[in-house]
Amino acid sequence: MSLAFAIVLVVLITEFILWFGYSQIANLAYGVYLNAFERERIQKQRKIKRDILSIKHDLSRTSSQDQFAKWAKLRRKLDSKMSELEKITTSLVYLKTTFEIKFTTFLWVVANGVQIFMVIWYRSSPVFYLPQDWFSPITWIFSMPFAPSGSVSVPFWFFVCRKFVKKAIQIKRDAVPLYHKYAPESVKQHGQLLIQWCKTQIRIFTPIVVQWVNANVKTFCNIIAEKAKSSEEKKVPSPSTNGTSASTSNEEINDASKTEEKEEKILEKNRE
Amino acid sequence: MSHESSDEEFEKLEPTLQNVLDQKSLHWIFVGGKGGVGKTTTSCSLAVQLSKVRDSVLLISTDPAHNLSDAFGQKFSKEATLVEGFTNLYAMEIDPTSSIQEMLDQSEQQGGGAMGAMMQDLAFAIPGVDEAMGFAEVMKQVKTMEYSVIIFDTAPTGHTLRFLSFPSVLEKALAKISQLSGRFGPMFQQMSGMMGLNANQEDMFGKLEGMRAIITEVNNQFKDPEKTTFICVCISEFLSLYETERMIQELTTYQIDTHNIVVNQLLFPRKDSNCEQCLVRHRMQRKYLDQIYDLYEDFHIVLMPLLTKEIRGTQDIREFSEMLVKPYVPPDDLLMDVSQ
Repeated sequence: MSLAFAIVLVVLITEFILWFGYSQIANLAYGVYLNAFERERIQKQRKIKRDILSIKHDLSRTSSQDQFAKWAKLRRKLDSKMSELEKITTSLVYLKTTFEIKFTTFLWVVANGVQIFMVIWYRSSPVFYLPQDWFSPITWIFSMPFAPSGSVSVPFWFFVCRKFVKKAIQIKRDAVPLYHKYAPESVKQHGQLLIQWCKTQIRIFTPIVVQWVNANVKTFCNIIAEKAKSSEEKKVPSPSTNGTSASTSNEEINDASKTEEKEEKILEKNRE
Repeated sequence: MSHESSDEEFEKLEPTLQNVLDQKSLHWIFVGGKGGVGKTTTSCSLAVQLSKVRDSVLLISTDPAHNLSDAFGQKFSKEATLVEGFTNLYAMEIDPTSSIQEMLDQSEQQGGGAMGAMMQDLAFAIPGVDEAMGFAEVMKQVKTMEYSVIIFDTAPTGHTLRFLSFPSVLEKALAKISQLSGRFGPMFQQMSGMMGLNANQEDMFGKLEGMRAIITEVNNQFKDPEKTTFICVCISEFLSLYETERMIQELTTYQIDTHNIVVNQLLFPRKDSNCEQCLVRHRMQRKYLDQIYDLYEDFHIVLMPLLTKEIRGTQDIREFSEMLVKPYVPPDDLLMDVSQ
């Protein structure tokens, strides 16, 4: 039966990813990636933007007729800063595009790959046995590829689960307008309260979770790298200890600017 | 914005074009600036001064308005002609449109009729191709004949800078074309054989390759500050100043050296002058001149006066050219001190 539950879990996760949208997940992942690895670029970009704003402000207060020299010098600075900004922005955009492509591919491969792997690995194992009386003449369909007769095979069970989840999503989507139309008021109010409560909880906890993830993502990567290295080479993990200490010092340095970024994230989420 | 006169004298660079005369390695000099500021006068004067210290000087104008002929009072053509009264000063006026026409006639005689027509349409469709043809003409003329220094009197429109950026653009285009010719050459030959065209395209691509080598060479020469420089001519008014600033920034992006500015048509009214226009205008010019000094600290800024007569004819040009190397000192005690 564990096989059955494993398959259900895999299908649920895959369908959730599909429902949520590859691009949404990629966006979230990109946010985490930026915070973890491209901090300096982002900070540089922000600094250049601030400089440009201040120069523009000065420029608007300088009359080009009466103070041409100062105006022209400000203009030159502005042009050079704009071209710098242009360069950084294009590099970031390029980074985003490549990351999204890679991440989406990775996600797709993982989601479908796991399924395909399970189908191939368990190709001749049954998921569970059906009583023969239920669907008697056509039971051979359920054990389609290679499973022993009288049981349900893995690909078929996958198919069933997927259909079920998709139907469930569709029903929920169709039910929403019906609910709004036919449900009694009290039920609606309770429903509203429930939704509000859920949203507030999410709002409170997401920044904490994201902060925790950002604080520890480097540690996670290092731990994974450690494990990979130690299992491969069985050497003394001295480089990785350096890595962990560096990451903790990074954490301390970056804690100050994190609150600012978390606020921005909250604002973005609210806007969405 | 007022400066201490003594400090300013020490900080400012010498206000003449002597540095151009002194720099013996200079081979290409461009004189440019937007409309009516006195480019032709300046370029002719500079040519006159250079002819005294160089072996041979060629003055080229790509302006279709034939202003060199007017300035010297002598008819010039697209062959280099010796200027009357000089032994080593030559002048040439290139008309871009006529040079394209000539090239097309030539190609029509060589290639098939259909090819010629197609090339003609293509030629006139691309903007700036007349500048390109002028440029090609110049390169052709100049590679064959030897001159120590060549002065370009540029056209008043903004096309000047496009002309200067042309070498790099053409280089890239030719690189692409020769790549393509390598791939499509045989197919093209078959097609033209089928259609009965006599397109000798090996010859064509060979010529393109040759041109590409020259273009690359020219590009390198233009970016070398020892070989090429650009002299900006302007007047002391807001719009001209703005255009000059833009032009200098563009030149910097093209990596073309520029370190001279000639400010023309300056008024030097007398102290007891009661001409209201002169005084007001003089004040305005003074204001912008101060801005110029402030902004272009590492440029030579040459002040040229507005004379009471037009500058036409060799003699006038000679007199005017003296002021390029010896700073102009106004006759009597004046409202304006050059040092103020």
